[in-house]
Amino acid sequence: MRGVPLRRTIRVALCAAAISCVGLLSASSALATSCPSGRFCVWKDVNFVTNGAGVGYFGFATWSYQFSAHNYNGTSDQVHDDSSSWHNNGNTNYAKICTDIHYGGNCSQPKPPGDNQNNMTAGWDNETDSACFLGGNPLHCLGP
Amino acid sequence: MPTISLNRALCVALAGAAVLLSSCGDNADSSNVDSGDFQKNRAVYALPLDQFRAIDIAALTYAANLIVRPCMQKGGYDWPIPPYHPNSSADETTNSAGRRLFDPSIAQRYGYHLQPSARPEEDELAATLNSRRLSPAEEKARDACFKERDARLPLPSGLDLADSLAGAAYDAARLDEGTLDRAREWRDCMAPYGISDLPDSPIKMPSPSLDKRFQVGGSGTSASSEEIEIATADARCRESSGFSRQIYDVEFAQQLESIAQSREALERAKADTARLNKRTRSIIAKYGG
Repeated sequence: MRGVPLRRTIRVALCAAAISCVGLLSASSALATSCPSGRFCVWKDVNFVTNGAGVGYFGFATWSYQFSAHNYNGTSDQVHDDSSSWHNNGNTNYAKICTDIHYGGNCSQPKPPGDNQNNMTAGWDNETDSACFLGGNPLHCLGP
Repeated sequence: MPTISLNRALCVALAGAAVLLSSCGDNADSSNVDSGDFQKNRAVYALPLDQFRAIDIAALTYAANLIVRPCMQKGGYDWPIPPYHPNSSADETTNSAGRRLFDPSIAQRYGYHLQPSARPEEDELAATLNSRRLSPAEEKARDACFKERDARLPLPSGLDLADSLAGAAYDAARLDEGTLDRAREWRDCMAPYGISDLPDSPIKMPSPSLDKRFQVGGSGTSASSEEIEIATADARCRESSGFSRQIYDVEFAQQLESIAQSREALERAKADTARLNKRTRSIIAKYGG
């Protein structure tokens, strides 16, 4: 990151988002993934796989305040700052992902249940460290 | 955090250039944005992009569920949904844009914990309904109902842009040289507390050992006097080192610059979001009982 000028980083974000707007990289609702119903899942790589396997996801039912405490299923690869695709396969609640532990730093817009993204954009890709389903208070995590 | 892969950045940038050459140019000038349109307020962590992604999430969740419930019932599935409180608001530890808040007064009250939910029983009910494991047939029916929801309550595509810009601005802020310098001063300030795994930046607090000792992420736990002491010292060191001000100021400036580069698209996202909020209220008024 240090080697990438900040103005370029913003341009990359802008371009990635622009592509997202026309649907090439964007979330698409209800695309089948290996994420079980009722869970929010992330994968290490794009297109919902980890080291070539879709089952290597990390999923939670309510919240995960520190991805560094978890590995991808069946691997020794830590989830911390190392995810490139996600799927909210919850039934009723939107979710958010955040760049820092304990839902700190920059947090995303609410992700609807059923929504997913096969290729996270700059600022999020390999930079996510916590996530949760949102509850009754706006943007407040369910549970903790 | 790892660096952004240059290959990946180049790939995305090139693809983006083919789609939106004008938006990716070098000629954008942050002076095109009147910073007077965006008021700084570090106490509530107000940021310029907030106004472009102001979704009423509690209402949206309820309206979405009001669409999915009858759709599922038509398919023969019972589909209870979480309750909704129209007057719920942001709390002391999370602002209305979803940004976590932390300063000495918050630390003195909550330590590193989030403010407890005002309605824990309802949150528990929501968590239970949300996390239900479905049969393959029920999941298929639910996904079809989600499509109906998306058709009636589509999230503005411009939100992706706002999210990406916000992500890039935060990256710029946390990696700014001034921020890194102040993080070092913060570490010096925290040294007397003898935290064995004190991180290189306060954004990584609480450290794993403190997290474990204070059970910060544990459901139903609250801050001990020891946690409050450490958290308050941490928050004060963030202030005295200048870290809190520096990271906020840089992020604010970066967001202004990003708005200058894509004002038109963001204004469209803002209008789309206002329409979404209006549609949400209309669905609740019609079906919410």
